[in-house]
Amino acid sequence: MADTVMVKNVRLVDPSGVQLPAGDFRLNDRPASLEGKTLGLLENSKANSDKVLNELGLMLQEKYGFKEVRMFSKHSASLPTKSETIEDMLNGVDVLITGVGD
Amino acid sequence: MNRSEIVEFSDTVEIIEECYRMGWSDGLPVVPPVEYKVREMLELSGLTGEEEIITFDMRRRVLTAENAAANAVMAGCLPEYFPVLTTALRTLDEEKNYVNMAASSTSSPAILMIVNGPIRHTLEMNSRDGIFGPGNRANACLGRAVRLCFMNGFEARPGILDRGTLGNPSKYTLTFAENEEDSPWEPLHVSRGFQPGDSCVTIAVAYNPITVNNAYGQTGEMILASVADTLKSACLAWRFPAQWALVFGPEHAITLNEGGWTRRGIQEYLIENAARPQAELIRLGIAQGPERDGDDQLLRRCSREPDDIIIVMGGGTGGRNSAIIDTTNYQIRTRRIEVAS
Repeated sequence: MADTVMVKNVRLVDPSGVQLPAGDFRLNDRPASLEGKTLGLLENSKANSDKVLNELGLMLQEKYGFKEVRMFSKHSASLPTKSETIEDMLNGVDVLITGVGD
Repeated sequence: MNRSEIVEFSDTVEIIEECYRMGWSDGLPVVPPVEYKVREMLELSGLTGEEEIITFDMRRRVLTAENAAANAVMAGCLPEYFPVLTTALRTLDEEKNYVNMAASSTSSPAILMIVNGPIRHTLEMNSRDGIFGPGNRANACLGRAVRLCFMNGFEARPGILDRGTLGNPSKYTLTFAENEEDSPWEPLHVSRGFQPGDSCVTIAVAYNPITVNNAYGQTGEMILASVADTLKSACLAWRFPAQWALVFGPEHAITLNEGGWTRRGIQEYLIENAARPQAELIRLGIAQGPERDGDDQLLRRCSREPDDIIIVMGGGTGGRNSAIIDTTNYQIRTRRIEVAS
């Protein structure tokens, strides 16, 4: 049996799902400066999300001096980003902001 | 806890309270998931408990048969119900969008389950008066068990993972059987390629049933015209083209049958007549603009294909009501329920 909880001498079966391991992830060091770096923005394919993020990208570029702002898209708002898109972002940008919202 | 152990009634009530404290409830009291009840649930289905039934990638969670059985016990299910629940969960697992949508969407969808075949009788499910509830144990508890699996298994709780704006009463349960015996049409599962003797569950991500109270329509066409008119309303047309579940009450079904309306004929009528120009949808704010040339002539139809509209007969006599259930854009699926011998 999986996890159980004792209550009043009665053993209850935990209805929670089983947590899978998260994999081997490591955050990169934060850049000392954003000047001249490439910024990536990930839009979630909801209506107008590209417009909002484009505008935001221009503002961030002006404020922090990014060399370039690159836009990436999720194929579906409710599904995880495709691994090839993650690979593109990993290789193509220095800093990434995920623009998930509704 | 073994059957032979003596537990004071007051303790049992306290255990229910403890389940509330642990956050295991949908708001209603749950049956405490004691080990022997969970074991009974698994054994009748020939499961060990270790089997993976459904995974939820966003939460990196897996629901095992034992987790599912614990939730089924809590929902009030009898062990005989469990094959319906595991079939339903495995079917949901086939389409990740189903799971994400039903767990978390701002539009707050529920999960619809329609049961066909002999198991309806074994489980004493309701297909007649008050088909959408309340009052029948299997109808109530099976739907509740699916939602508890999402809430307890995947943390699909309001404001946490479940970001439904308004919620949805059908999230408590939206499960019923078809009244195959009195239907003028072949049973739903047979229309979808299964044998009459198969027990099946049809699954969809769905919203609340909308009643079409057509008391005075004397012909099948008058009934269908009111169904088409409801479909074209702003609350449903925004999703065109989509999938729909129609539940025709017995009196409407009799009138439709007398008028020679087959399942296919009804489907084709609705695709033809439940349609609205794109320009109108944009002006109502239920489609994204701006309007383009030709949008006044561009018809958005309720569905692409006849089989995107599923039709069942159910409900009580003594009223002329039918219902439309919006079942989103995701594929409705029918699967056979395997019962361990």
